Amino acid sequence: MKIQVANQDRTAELGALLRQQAASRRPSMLPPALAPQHSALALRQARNTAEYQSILVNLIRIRRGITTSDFSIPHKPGWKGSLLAGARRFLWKLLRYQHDRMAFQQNVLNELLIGALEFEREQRLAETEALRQRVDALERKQGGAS
Amino acid sequence: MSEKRRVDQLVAGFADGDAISGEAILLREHFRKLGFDSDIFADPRHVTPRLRDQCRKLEDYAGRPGHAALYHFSIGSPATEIFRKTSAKKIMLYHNITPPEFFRGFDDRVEQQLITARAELKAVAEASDAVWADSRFNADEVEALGVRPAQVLPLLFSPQMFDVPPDAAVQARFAGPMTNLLFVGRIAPNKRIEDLIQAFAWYSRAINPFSRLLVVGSDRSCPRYYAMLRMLAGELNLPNVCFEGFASPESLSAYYSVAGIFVCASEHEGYCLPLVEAMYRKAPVMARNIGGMPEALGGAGVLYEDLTAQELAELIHQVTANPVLRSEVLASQEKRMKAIAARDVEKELNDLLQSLKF
Repeated sequence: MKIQVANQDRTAELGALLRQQAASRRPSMLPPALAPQHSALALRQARNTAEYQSILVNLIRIRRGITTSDFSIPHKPGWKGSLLAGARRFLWKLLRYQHDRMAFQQNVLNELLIGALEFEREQRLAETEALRQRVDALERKQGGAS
Repeated sequence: MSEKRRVDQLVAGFADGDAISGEAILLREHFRKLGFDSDIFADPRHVTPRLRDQCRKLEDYAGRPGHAALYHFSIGSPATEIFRKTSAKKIMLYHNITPPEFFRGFDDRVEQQLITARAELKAVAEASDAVWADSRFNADEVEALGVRPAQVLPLLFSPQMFDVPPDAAVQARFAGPMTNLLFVGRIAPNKRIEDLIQAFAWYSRAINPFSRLLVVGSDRSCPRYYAMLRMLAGELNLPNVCFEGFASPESLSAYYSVAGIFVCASEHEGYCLPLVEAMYRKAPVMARNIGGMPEALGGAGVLYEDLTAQELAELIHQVTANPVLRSEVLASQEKRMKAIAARDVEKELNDLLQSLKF
């Protein structure tokens, strides 16, 4: 770690403070970290476009659903903040029934779209492979004739 | 009547919001003020419609002895061959070439263009009568090739080009009590926007839930990288990461006006003009201590190295919420902006051209 403020090295002073504060925080509702191979950052491992496509389709497949789990409703300090946050929580409970019904429909649609994407990709790969084999066969034939 | 001397510029592309294009326009003004005729020649396939009347077609460029051609070099382009063949005095202005590995997997074509540009760099420098660079970092890179010394002409910043009334609609959307973390730049893999998103996840969940991360810049530079960033924001459940896309000068002015802090986590920059723009708009600036960014900041703002996402979030919090630290940062930036405003660019250019014996 190194921190410079206005051209002065402040690593010792600020570094200790940052570490101490980071250790003392309790992040609310931070989604659990995904396994590296399931994180979007796995796309950085792709070595070419074809690999990128392959990783992307896999990642989309595991993200097809809309999450309907509870989420953190931030509130400002003081009784007004708590009251507003309480009202929002109550509204969410009321709306949840309708929301979950729509989320179900959206999830079904997402699954179908991802399925279509995968089928299309598989078909394109199969067609490309078949064409490659035909070109190889034609080149061998031409090479043999000359 | 004798023909006026010319200093023309060759660019690979000419686009709104692009730092090199902006500098080419400013340099043309300065060359004309110095008494030269001066035009910009660009590959027409890479010219945005709004700038078409500001430049001429690359293939129309005809340099002659007694003229000078300044080539803004940063990527493989047909301009390289035209530059190498011209009989005019040749000046390469090196803006740095993004290391191709950043684009691996994200864009095979751009990766290849960058590989080509890296391979051509030495030959272009050898063919040039002078090499200029917009930072010492860039100059060192050319000098390491062992061809010739490079002279530094820091990237130009013009408040006149930047001082436009802020877009009221953008201001209205983002004004208010929330803290806006701002990044401005192309959405490209070397910018490491994923580091900002990860830091923002911690900042918004553990420190300040009333906050946004505004990412302003074209998402067409590298659509596959952009897709990864969108997916990451979704994965971390961060609806307050706002990808704003390309911004007009008015919108850009508005984004800077609502910024609580400007943060750049880029891992490779030849200079990074948005740091200067943010300082000019009085937003505290934080950047990774790498490449040409320390030179752009010139001793102002905050530079960091080797911070985890949590530590970066905590540092953002310190700079935005600690009034003493914040005023210290802003004072340093004000001093830096005074130094930039005091630059005599025409004298710098005159000296550089005289050393070319032109």
